[in-house]
Amino acid sequence: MSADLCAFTFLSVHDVLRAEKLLLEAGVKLRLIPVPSQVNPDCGLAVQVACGEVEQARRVLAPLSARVTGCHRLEGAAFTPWEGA
Amino acid sequence: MDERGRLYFDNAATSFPKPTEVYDAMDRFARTYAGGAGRSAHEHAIAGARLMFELRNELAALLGGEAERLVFTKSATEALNLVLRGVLSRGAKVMCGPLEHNAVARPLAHLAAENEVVVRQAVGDEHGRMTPAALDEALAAGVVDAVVTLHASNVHGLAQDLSALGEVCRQHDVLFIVDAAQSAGALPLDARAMHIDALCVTGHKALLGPTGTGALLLSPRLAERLPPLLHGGTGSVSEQERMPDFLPDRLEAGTPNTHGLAGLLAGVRYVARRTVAEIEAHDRALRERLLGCLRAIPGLRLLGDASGPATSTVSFTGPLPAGDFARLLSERYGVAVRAGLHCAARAHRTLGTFPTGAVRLSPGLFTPPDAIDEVCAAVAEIAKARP
Repeated sequence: MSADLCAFTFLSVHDVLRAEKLLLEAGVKLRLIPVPSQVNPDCGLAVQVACGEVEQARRVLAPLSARVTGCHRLEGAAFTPWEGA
Repeated sequence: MDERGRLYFDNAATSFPKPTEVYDAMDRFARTYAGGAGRSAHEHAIAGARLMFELRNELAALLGGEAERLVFTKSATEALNLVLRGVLSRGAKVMCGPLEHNAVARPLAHLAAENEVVVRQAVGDEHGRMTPAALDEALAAGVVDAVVTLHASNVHGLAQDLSALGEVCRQHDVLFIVDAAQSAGALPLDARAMHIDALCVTGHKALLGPTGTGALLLSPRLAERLPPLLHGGTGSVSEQERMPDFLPDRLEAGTPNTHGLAGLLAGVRYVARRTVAEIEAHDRALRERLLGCLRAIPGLRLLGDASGPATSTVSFTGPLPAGDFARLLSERYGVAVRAGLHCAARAHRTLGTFPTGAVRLSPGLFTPPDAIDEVCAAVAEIAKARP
């Protein structure tokens, strides 16, 4: 996976796994990671993708748009909100 | 199957035996993964989350609803409490059926006492099944906020026409709440087509999972507003002290019963693979064989001996008290049945068998046909010996 890493966060873990299913079916490589602590000190899951695939991922995740709580980019050691390139 | 399973005629209480894969799935999950589903990103937590995701999808598909509106409970009773306590506000008016289990009757009695909820009982046919015409008439005669009823009776097995009853509720814009503890996995269910707002199921009967599992499937209009019964950790928005406002988290506080849900997933897959239609036909054949045999025994009164959709459960009264009948079946013949009121006093009042109750025979998915004949012969011997 590219060094430029982005992460989508969602309302619930169920939504994370819905997203994972949709993205895998669309051929988007991903990894499930802990919700970045800079985003939320929570204990749930987020979906990490290469930042170069964020736009495709957004299209794939359109049916879940109401359940996506944010997209974040890894800068240094921290994820920060990211709207895309 | 060993003798204990062959003569186990108490599947309406809980199904036994389960398919082998149910035991295997529970054992495998409990030995391989820890709990804490979805609370972390390590493989144990993710495995639990995936398990729940798959079960939510597959069970919702089996019940005719959306996975996003299915929440897990520990039982149908918890699901019914969750929905009844959530929708029946002070002074609300609710109509229930004539055959309700205490899982419905007791929450309603509590709400009547504590919250001034007005409970009315619908008119049924001679077997206690609600009729669409009578329900339509009752709903037209007065304002009712919700109708709650079971699908199949846990006393005599006969099922109600949910499609027709749901259509009546839809026409009157009344919430339709269904207790499908006996029927989920045994009879066709389609929450969407039947206009069911809340479908309450247990995992340990015809869905073939373990005890301690259940689910509540909600319509869109109820999913939006149903408040939680339990408050606690969900693994989401933990910085808030209020419960999340989104499903399923809003209604699923606390660590889930993942090894139980692993068994339920295996049970649901077994049912889906075998198909509900085939299981219904199988149960129908057992029921007809059992009723046919029992009809020939002098001195028995059969409950629910009628045509129409049904599970394999039948009950009877005879020449000696139900409890004595059950004891003799167990002690002399090794037959496991349930006697008494079956946690359904309301049903027995309707059927004229209160307070003594009846003897219930509920063969299951793995009951061999010759076991039906053997149990029937035992019933005949006991009945003959005690005229």
